[in-house]
Amino acid sequence: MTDNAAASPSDLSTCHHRAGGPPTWTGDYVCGQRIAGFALTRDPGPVDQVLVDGEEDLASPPYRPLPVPGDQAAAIERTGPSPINDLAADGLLQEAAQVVGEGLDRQLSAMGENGDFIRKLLDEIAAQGHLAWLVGGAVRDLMAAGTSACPADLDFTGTIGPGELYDALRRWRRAQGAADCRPFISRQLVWAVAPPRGGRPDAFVEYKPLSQPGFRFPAWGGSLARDASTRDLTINAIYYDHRNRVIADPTGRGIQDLLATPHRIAVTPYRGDDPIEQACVILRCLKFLLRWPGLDVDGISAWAARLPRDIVTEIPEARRPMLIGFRDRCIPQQYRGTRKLDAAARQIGPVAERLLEQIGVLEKAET
Amino acid sequence: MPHRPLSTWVSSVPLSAAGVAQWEFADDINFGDERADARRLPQFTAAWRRQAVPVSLGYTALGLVREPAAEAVLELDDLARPVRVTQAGADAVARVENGWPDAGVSPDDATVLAKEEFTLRDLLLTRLAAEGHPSAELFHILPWQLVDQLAGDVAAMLGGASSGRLIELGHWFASAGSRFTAALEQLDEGLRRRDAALVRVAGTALCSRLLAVSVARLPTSTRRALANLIATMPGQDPFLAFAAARAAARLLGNEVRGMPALRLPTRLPAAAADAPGVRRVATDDVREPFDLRLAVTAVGTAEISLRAAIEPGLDRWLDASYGVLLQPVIIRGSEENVRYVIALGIEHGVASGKISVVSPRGQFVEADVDGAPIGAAETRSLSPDEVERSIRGLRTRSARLLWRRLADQLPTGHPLRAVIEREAR
Repeated sequence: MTDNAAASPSDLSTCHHRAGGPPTWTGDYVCGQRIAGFALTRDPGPVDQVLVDGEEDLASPPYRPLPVPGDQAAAIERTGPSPINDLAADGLLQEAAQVVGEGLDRQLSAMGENGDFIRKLLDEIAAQGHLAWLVGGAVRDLMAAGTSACPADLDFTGTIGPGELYDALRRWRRAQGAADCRPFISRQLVWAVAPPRGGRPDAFVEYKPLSQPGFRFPAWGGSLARDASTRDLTINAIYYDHRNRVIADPTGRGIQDLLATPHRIAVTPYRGDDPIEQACVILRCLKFLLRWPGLDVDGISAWAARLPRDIVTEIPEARRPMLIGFRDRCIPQQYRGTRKLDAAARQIGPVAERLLEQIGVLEKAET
Repeated sequence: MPHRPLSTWVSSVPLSAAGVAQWEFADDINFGDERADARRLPQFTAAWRRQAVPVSLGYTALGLVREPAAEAVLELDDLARPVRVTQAGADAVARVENGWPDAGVSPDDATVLAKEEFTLRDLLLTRLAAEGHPSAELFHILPWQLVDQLAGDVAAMLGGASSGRLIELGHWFASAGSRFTAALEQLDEGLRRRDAALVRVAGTALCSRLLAVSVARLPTSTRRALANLIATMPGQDPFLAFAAARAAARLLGNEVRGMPALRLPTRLPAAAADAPGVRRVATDDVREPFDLRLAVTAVGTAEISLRAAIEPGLDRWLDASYGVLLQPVIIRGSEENVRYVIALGIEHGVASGKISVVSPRGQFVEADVDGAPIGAAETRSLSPDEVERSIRGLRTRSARLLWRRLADQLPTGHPLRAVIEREAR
């Protein structure tokens, strides 16, 4: 994939035009089979594997390593679309990107060595022929509050897989004098880096490749629009490409919901039927409702009203305890058991009230 | 005392009737919160017991089991895989945990632990270093042979040998402190890439960090290997001579005690009323390759100057590898230590620089260099305050111009740019 910093506002899609060269991406063909996505194997080390059509029901990723860049023997036809191809015509914006870019630059400078690391990381991802986008709370806060925002988490997404990233950055980190920083890769494919002697909670950057739902294990290789459909709220599904200084709003309403007056609007782009994801959307929505009491949750309430009332029973028993951890992440201790939280849950609806109640029961059983 | 996870990540796993952890049914990391530190999760306030848990993957892994033993949590590495451990290793960890964090480790347990996987040793030492005061010798269980080997390879490359097999130290030695292994790897990478600027930066970092390392945490073989390596550094960069010699002496236990800072009384003795100019007294010493001078004047200032002869042709190398040569110095009074940075200009085969500051309170003033000189690439380590006061200590326009030259070499948005531009106008 190429980028073109000189793209004019009327032709922003050229920023992400696929030129037929690396990297390998969904929709390309490998040995005559259409690539449907990518997955990670971890033993003995992290290796990106290619998934092809028809492998959606496999229990675990097959062994089909992603050809390394420059492998002439790999028969790859790079005819697949760019990850932005399914955006609406007005899905890429340049004007709004300016304030996000300035805010991010400011934030990176304030982060000192860690900010330098992130800048160089973005350069390195581009040097490998890949795209990277800032997404989530950082874009939301920078768009809403401008350069005065100090986003706590810098979460990126993009086209490079965690295995390739891990490998590409081994030598690069050595040259940066950062060989002792600790990279982590979670089951959900989040690659994160913590400073030396730090653990995962100390990570100063996170990257998760563009999600490709539809497999029985975590996979990537989706378009921006597909990735957006796995996120909790439209206001958290706005993407910012720092290299090309372009904003993408694949749901078509993220920016409008964020800048709505007098209150922001909470709408979920999630359309899947995974009860865990559904529970997470509700918990995240509660988090924002506690943070922004005027948040308009009519859209979320309407969505939640269509869910089974007892969402926890839809989740396999063994996985239910994860709701405790997710609740802890979303709802600070001081709110638990308070009227404020009860009122927020009531606003979303009976599903939210029942969910909180059942997480309380699970917690008692755990401890 | 209940045992708690050593790793930041755990996964709850059901146990079969035979007590084997069914990895294929492993739960989400940290019960759904992968950004949390497992050690601090409320689940671990109850009594969990350390165990080597047989896993369906065909090995035993570091875990915790809670009675009745129907489930276990497995500790995970940075790639979310179970951490392998032997039964003897898990027992040794349990004994350390029973007296956590300061009970110490028996020599027998240390021998057992030294044979366990790197991940286990790293997890144990990182937690012990964060929560207690582990004995320096306990750090000897780390795989130091890798450091010895890499230090030897790098010394050979500096001597002209070609590069060998890549040795990666990663974060395995971070618990020992001072981050010198990252500098060692950077030096190796610089030599492999034939990148002179990278070699320069890495050499400076290595000398500086070895001046700060807790030497007792390094086994004797590693101390020797590192001392041998840094003894060769001044051949590459003569400005590292003093820092490298001191770091080598520390590593070998020969620290020079007879090299005190320059010291003068802050008040000059009375003089005849007709003495011309501002009176000053001065003292000098050598901080190779620099002559260091401290002078105290009758008007209450302390002047610190540095001067070194430059071999022909070296000025171009200095420009390319340092940008602007900056030597941190420390000035001590009876009540405070203040760090300044002297920017050195090169003219007529001499590198020199000077600052003039108000003498600190007390009867004496002391001055010395503070570590190895640095260049534009390392300015992240300088605070805006010390840059500000260092520029305010300049008395000539040419000295301020050096700082402005430095500012031009810094990337846009660098926090020191604005400070320098404001102060060195």
